[in-house]
Amino acid sequence: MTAPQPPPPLPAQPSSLSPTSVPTLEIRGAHFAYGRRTVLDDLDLTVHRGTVVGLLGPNGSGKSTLIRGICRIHRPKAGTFMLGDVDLHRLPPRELARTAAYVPQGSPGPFSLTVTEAVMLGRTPHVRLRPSREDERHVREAMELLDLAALADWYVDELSGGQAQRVVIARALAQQPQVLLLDEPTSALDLRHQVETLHLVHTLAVERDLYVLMAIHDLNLAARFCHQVALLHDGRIVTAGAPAGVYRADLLEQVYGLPVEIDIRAGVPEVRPCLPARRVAPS
Amino acid sequence: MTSSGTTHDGAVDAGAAESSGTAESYGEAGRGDPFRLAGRRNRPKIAILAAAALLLAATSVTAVAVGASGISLRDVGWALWTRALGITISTDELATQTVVWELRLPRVGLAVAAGAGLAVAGVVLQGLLRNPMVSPFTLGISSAAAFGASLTILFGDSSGRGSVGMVASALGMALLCAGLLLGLSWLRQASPVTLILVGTALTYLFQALTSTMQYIASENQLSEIVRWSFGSVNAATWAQVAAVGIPVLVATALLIGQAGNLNAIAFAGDDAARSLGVHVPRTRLICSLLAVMLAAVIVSFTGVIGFVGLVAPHIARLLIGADHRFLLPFAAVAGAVLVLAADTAGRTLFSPAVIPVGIVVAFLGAPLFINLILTRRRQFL
Amino acid sequence: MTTRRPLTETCDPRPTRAGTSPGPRRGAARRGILPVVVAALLLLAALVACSPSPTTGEPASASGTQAARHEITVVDDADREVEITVPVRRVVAFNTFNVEFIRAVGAFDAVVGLDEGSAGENYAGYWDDFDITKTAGKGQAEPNYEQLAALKPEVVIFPRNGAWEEAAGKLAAFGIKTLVITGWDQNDHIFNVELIGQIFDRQEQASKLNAFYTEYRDLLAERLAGVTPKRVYLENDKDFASPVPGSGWHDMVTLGGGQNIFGDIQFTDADSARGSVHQLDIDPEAVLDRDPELIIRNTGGGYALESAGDLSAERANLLGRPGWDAITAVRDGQVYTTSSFPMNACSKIIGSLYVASWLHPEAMAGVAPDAIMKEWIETYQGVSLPDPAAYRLHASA
Repeated sequence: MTAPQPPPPLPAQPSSLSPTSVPTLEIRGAHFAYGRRTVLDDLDLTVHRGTVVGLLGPNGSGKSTLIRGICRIHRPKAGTFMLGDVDLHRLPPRELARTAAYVPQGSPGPFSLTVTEAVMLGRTPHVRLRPSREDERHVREAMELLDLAALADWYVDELSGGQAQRVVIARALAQQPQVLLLDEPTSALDLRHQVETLHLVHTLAVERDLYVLMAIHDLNLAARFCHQVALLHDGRIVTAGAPAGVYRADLLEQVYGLPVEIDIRAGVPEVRPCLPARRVAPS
Repeated sequence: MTSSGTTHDGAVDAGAAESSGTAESYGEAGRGDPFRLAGRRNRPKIAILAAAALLLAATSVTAVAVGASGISLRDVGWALWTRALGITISTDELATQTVVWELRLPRVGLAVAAGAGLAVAGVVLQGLLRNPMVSPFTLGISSAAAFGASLTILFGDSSGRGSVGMVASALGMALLCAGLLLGLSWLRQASPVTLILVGTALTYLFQALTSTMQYIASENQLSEIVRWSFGSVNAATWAQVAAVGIPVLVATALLIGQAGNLNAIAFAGDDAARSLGVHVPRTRLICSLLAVMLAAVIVSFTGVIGFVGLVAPHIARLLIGADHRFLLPFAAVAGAVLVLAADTAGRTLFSPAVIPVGIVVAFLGAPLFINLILTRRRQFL
Repeated sequence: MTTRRPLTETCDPRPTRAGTSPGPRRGAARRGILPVVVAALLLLAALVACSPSPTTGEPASASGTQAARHEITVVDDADREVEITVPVRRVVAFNTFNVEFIRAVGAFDAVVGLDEGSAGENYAGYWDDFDITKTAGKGQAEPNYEQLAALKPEVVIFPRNGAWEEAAGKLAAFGIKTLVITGWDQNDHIFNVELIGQIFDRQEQASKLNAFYTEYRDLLAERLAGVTPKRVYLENDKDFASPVPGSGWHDMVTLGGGQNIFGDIQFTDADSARGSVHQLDIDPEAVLDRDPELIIRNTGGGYALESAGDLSAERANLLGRPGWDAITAVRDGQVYTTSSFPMNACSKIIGSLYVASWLHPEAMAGVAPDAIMKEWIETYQGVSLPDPAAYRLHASA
């Protein structure tokens, strides 16, 4: 590993949260169930263009289900998923895949690809039989954007965790989506790579005018890199909005079942769990 | 894992790559020759593919040129030439033509078709099930076919390998096994691991059934059952070449058409593949159906040529990479070369005695495979 | 590589009435050992359960001389000295050839058990009213010891490639002797028959049988002296599978004035019937290249005529092969499809007579193999054989 990184710059705040003519990603009345178990119940959520919305909440609160539901990995029992006036779920699968890209939490299969080949997977909804020059170009752009060009011929399993995560994000970008859906993209990364990845996601959202919805566990990182957050509990949104507004000690304690303290530093809330006073000190 | 210092041919300095992978540097790096990317990736692969096709052509020519009758390459050429143009020839030349046209060419054709088909089936099943140990035979297909064949040997009119009854019975059993597997995956949405386990169980079940057949068989029948289990192309005919070759060609073409979807399922996983616009259940069904049908048809005609379906995909993957667009055609060629070389060795080493190809292929494939695995540059699988 | 031993991979028992190559076959049968064991155990249990309890009534006694029994020491085919009380009154013989010799010396009523190869449907009707459910195991390689013990033989006869070593220890515990006699080895015919005559105290009948055998052996030598051997392709029950030196089928061809076109394949040096000497896969084009003057296709089978299989289908299969119309034998109409039964008869000496009469009719003038076959079956085996010719089909028939 190389020298420690300088702290990333603070994310830019969106100029306006109530645009007039810019279309939004509108989730209305989303209802998901596995068998008889309801996972998400009548959920409404809006994502503005060029912003990152973080989905917070304890395990099992329905974050992943919502992320995966939008790109129809899970089928909703009810609800509409509109991007402007386009109903995402009425799009043919390939069309949907060209509109919304998904970055899963999982690991790659046993047969590894080179970085270029892995990013080329993102062109699946565009390619007919063989990748065209156009496909090559988008792959190259995505790789350059994610600083992967130098690793083009590396095998994915030779990469570090952070690099591998960038490959998956590059794959999603190669889909040329408007909507980017990430399922806990930092769960397997060390702190430096968590920060790098989230910074990247944030910048992509702003610079490429993406609608980004991201399930994330780390409240503090979410506060720094998400324009808005939604706090999920038992399949419902408890509260949503800017992190500073959502992060209330009583709400978090209610949702996570753990007392917390909240500090505000430079306008960004920081959450600390209140641990019992007794410390285990070295003797 | 950190990649610094890892060797990789033609790769940039690993340390530099790692250190440049930082948050603030993205967007600036790697603006070079716009065609570098495509060229580096594809050009060697197309070259490798061409080289493999050349090797197959050379192996085929060799295979047609050698044999117990000691016909020279020129005679072979003349025999084919006169055959193609329908030129009238002498009795001696006619004999040569018969050997080349009726015996050697069908044999070469069947070996090539069987090798290619089994390799393609192996690639597809390994990819779909995301498991490197899978082959058409670990899923019970060959044991099922062997059981079907032994049924005919025991209770039917067994007029030898390749007889209609035996092929039908072997094919029926192989398809029954395939149907059980696919039906399970379709109805129960079984995971790949479940499928592999069920396939293993079916393998044992059909083996037990065949053993039961062997137990109640007479000595003659027993020897025929055992003989069937050594895959062989010794009595190949043009009809068999067509019956195996056409399905292999069609299925391989269809599967190459699915290569993109296969890539998505194999490397991104089912969920991500769905998010990439792939109709996952349909792709799975089509591809696995094609793969198991291929294996079933081939095994029904040749008997068990077991090793190719496992080893040819790996050899191919090590040489050309895992992208199914290239892997499928390359594995087909690799499997064809392997089986053809094995059969040619099997009939020339102790000529005129013939060692069944199913035996030789393991002698040939196992050292090659082990060598490739042990000398690979990178962590495999 | 100088030895062809690797070829033993292609194991095949020969298509004789009784299998003779246990080693490799055993290996093959045990691939995938787990399911086999389970299936075998289940089946064994079923077989044992279904088997009728052995007859406990009057002991079968060798007919003929009821002279005082006495102990003699014989040297068997494994060069072992075995003490045996003769005449033996109860015997189990593995390998059909051995049983035939016992019957030929007139001691068949001492036989209390056969193996499944002899008792199978290929030999339906051959053993008269013998209770063929008294099988003593699947074959010479897999004797059923419980059944053997229950049959209470005094002696169990194995061929040398049977499981006699294993059996000797097990059966000794029951006071049962094992004796190695390799009936299928026609080169040991005289020895085998003499030994069988000895243990049943029927030397006279044994000499008579040996005289029958020797007469035709000498006849062949005499009639074929000076003739040029002709090229023969013997296809042994499977497509493109030929016997090679080491197989009795090869010897049968040679003795009959033929030259096995695959006689150059030296597979094994001993007459051990190892591996695939009886049915070695050969290159189809080599048949065309070596242009046989006589083609014989064995179809397996035993006494039961149905077991010969569909002779005309086999013949059509042969004649329809690419390039075969140019083979001398095919052009001359010298193609025979035949059950193995007459070819195997009396240590295959009768097979040799057939081969000789097909190859060298002038030299063999006046010799009628069918009549000799009839004599062997009706006189020495004591069962009827309506028409020996029904076991074969001539190309032009």
